[in-house]
Amino acid sequence: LSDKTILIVDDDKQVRELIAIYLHEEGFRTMLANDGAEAITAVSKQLPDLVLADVNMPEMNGLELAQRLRSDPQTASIPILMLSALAQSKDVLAGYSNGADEYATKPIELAVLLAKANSLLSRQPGSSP
Amino acid sequence: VRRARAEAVPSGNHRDLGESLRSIRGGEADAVVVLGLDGERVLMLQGADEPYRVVVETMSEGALVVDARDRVVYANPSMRALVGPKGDSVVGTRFDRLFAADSAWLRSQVRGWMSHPGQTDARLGGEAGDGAFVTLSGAPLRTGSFKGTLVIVADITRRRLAERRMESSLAALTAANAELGRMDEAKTNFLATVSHEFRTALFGIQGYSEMLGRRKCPPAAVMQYAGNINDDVRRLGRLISDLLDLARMESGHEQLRTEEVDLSELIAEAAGRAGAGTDRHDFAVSVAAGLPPVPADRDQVARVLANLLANAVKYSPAGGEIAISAGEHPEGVLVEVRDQGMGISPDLIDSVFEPYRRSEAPGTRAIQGTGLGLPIVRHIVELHGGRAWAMSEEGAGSAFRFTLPLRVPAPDTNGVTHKRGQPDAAVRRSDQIER
Repeated sequence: LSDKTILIVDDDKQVRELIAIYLHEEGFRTMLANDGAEAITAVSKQLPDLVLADVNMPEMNGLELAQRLRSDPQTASIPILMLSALAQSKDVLAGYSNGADEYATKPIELAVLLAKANSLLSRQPGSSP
Repeated sequence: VRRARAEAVPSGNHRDLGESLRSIRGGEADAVVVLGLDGERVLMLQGADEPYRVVVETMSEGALVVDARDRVVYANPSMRALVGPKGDSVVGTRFDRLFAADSAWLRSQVRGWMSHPGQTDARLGGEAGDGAFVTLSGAPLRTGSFKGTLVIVADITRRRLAERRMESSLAALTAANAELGRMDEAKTNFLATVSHEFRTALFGIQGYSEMLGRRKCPPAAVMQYAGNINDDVRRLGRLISDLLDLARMESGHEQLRTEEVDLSELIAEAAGRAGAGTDRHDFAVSVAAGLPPVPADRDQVARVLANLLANAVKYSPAGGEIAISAGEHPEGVLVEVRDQGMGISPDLIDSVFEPYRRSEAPGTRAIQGTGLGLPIVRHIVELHGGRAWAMSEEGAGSAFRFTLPLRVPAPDTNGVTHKRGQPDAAVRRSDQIER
């Protein structure tokens, strides 16, 4: 799995870096974006294997980002893992209905977050065994 | 004999007698005097019609007889009382003049009742358009050659007023209920926001402490991770103190520990602290020379400044200058914090000081905070007897201002506890300052 690239989208710099450092130590390549708009730009340069996105962000939030990725054939099959501090049922449902493959709430144990990411990556149709 | 009118008819003239008897039945005459060989005989209506006349004369509803040309030919005592001072002269007038409603419409209604019964609501004209609300029930009335309408007029003013009171109470209740609904929604949103803030900070603490505990954590990273944990712990601390402030605010009672406070010193400290948290903003402080000390609670005023500066930083994410100035003012001392941020739209500018009502403008949902900073500012300033307000041009920054009076606000009942808003005291103080 060490060749996989994960795009981390979160407007909180400390959260973004926490996840990046951890995933990097776990052998992933990481890309960083501050919000949905930056994520769209990043994806247009290099397609990640997984998008790990916050929901509440300036410019473009995580729900809109998911919609945009799903509606573009180039990015439609990239798995999306939402990680948000919005934890009400309606927030979770909004995440899934906008295109998330998985919705996790903060706070979350980093090992659990990693397990969710691995699970999504292994189910990818084009992933190598 | 109710009316001093009688008709004298020579006996034997049976045709005239018959007509006179009809005039009794029609109410035109009360008695007929028959002149016979054996002297006078007085004939009065005591037969079949008399009980009905008594009913009509004594009933509480008004009764009108209207002829085919809309003239009132009879009005019972209750009807005359309903009409008021002019009640005794209604016979002979056009009936619709008695009412406040559209005359033509009312005339057509009553004409319709000449052939079939009907009902409508109307209002008597009264002296100044303040007549009774009535229900009119009409029915055809034919006696002999007379063709007209009998109209029963029931006073429903009390019922109508009660209905109106009920309607206005209902409207007030509906409005109060809607306001409660809005407050409930605002509190629900507030709880969701607070929960979001707690969860975000907790994730930082949990994640970085996990990283610290990993065997391969490089020594160089330890300081950084610990610093990050510390940031999040402070964030939680601010959140909790905001919540406690809010609880105190809502309890309505709070104590000020008043002392002489040098604002220039407090402002410099606040600007220094705020500057340490951002590298995108410049802080420009300007305090008028010789600014007198103000009687105030030092910690609380420091909190006001910290909240205003934090707000200025938060709502100017692109950076820029944040100018803090202080000078004398008719109401005491005026302090202003001005930023070059996104500004506030005019329709939201007053609600920014209300608890739970954080701006819903695009882009602000993502900005950290519970929306308690400004309500706390206003609360503390008002507790000191001052005012807090905002000025803004959307997209061109905001200026938040507050005043602090140079005299301690007049104490309430027990001398240390103050309630919100003391407009009288504020006016008195500004008078003293201007002298």
